Amino acid sequence: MSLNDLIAELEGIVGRMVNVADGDFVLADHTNTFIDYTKKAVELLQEIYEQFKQKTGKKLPNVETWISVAVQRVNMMEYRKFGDIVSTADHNLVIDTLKCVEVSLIEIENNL
Amino acid sequence: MTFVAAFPTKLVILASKRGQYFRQTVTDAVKAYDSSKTVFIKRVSDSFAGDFDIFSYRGKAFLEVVRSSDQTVKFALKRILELVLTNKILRKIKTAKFTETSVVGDRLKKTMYKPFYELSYVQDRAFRNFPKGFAETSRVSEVFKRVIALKITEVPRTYEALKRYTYKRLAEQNRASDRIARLLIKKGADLTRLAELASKQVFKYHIETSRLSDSAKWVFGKYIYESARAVETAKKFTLKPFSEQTFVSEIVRKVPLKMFAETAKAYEIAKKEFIKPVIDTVYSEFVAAPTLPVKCYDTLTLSDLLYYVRGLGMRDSVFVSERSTMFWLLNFAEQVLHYELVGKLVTKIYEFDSACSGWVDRTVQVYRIFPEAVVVSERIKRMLIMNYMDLVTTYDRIVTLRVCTRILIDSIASEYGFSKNILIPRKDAELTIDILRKEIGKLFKEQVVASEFIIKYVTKQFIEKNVLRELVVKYITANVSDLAYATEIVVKIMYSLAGQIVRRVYFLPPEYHVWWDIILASDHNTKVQICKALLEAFKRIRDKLGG
Repeated sequence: MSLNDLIAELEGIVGRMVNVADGDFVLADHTNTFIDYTKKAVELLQEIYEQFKQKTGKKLPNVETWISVAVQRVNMMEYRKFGDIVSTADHNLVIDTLKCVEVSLIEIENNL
Repeated sequence: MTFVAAFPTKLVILASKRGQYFRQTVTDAVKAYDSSKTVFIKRVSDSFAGDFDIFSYRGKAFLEVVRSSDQTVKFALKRILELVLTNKILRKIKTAKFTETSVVGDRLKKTMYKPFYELSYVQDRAFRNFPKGFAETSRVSEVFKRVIALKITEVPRTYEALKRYTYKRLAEQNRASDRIARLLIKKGADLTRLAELASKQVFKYHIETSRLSDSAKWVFGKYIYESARAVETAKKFTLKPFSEQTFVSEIVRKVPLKMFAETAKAYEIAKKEFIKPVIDTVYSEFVAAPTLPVKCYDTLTLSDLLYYVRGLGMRDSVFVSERSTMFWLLNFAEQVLHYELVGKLVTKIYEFDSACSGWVDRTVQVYRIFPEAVVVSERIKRMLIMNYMDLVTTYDRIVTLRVCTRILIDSIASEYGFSKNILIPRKDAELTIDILRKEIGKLFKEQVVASEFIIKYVTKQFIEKNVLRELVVKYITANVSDLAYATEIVVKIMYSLAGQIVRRVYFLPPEYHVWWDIILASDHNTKVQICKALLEAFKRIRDKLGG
């Protein structure tokens, strides 16, 4: 898939996201949407890094490490269904993975 | 922004100056524990693999604790074996002494019998030869006179020998007392040195703990939260076994004191019961002038009585020693159990700490202090055993002195008993008995004084030692408690992501439910904002890449 396709998918996922207020029900879809987004973001990051290497001929070891960690964390994510308990890991895995994505993007951007 | 957990985001921060400083701090901490930078790097890299890596880390720590426990158990078993061996040696020594005593007693009996048979032989020959004539009778009288003269000259000589023997024993006793006193003083000095060493160790760890705590505060900043429940639990776990040890030490203190009290009581009884029969026997021989067979029977009865009581004393000594040894074995078994318990509890605390604080290896300090506490305790235990052995040795010496005194009494009684048979003047006999009484009384008095000195000194030493031990235990307990307080901190992490502050949430064991986090609506909304911001970043980079 091209970058545009992946970004389009990412936009679609973001479009499904809703803000919540205190007292609202915690739905399984809330968690699953973030998992979808994170998986797609990591996939997009890998594609961006490949294109970065092709364009610049550079390798960024830190980015490779973070991508590896992000992939590992994404593999640990589990989709939830109605009735499941939303655990702390569901929240922590998302933000920890997205942090890897963020710092990778910063380094790639700085080296462009 | 603060990063303190085994998550990829830390790696980002590790690239920054603060992150490098933090990594260096943690590296130093791990070096102190493991002396291996490789392990540290592996640990950091492993931490990225996810929470499941914690299990292997936990497993490693558990193996270390098991190894530590095994070492403790092996050492305790070694000490138990040594104690059993010591007990066997002690029993052999006592048995040997008893045998020696019997040999001496037999020799004395033979010595006692010899003049009696000689006298009987002379008397028989005299009676057989009496009818032969007055001249012969006169000659027999001459023989009697010579024998009497000989015996009269022998009495002072024997008395001199006995006196020399008494003085020799007294000198030996004094030497033994001096040696015991020197040993006790040495023990006191050793104990003081031990206490100083322990205090230094304790203060050292206290300083290290404070330093670690300061460093942690600096690094973790405002996101450090203290878990009061965790601290209380750790304190309870730590204090319980130590308080039990203190209780055991109280009992240990009482046993030797009781043993010495019994010894002192036995002295008193010996003084009353042994001097009286000896003097009574000697007096009765002089005053009542019973026949030879009766005297011989009385002498033998007295001698048997002495041997019987002496043997009983020996058996009592062995019994007391046996009982003390058994108590020590029991104590050791209990201590081993306590160490096992502490090891397990530390493992439990460590597991909890790992689960809630990620890869930050603060519990390393617990593992450092725990073996140190065990080592200090082992040293104290060794000192206790050494002192206990000294006590047994002292007791053994006292028993030996008592036995020697009884042998002396026995031999004096025998000698003076036969002195009467050869018609020693009553005045001389009374004079000799007075001297004898004074000498024996003096000897007993010296013994009692010496033993009281030993009892007082040893008691004082025991009390001081136990006070020191309790002091050391208190220091260690306080230190471990403080350490637990410093290490059992639930660290909660927050960091920035795409310009938004996000927090990680924690689910802790049920007993720490007060520190549980709830995923709030704001957490969800922040994530939505982050996702949108990252999408914009993706688009920006796509544009730069020309995609």
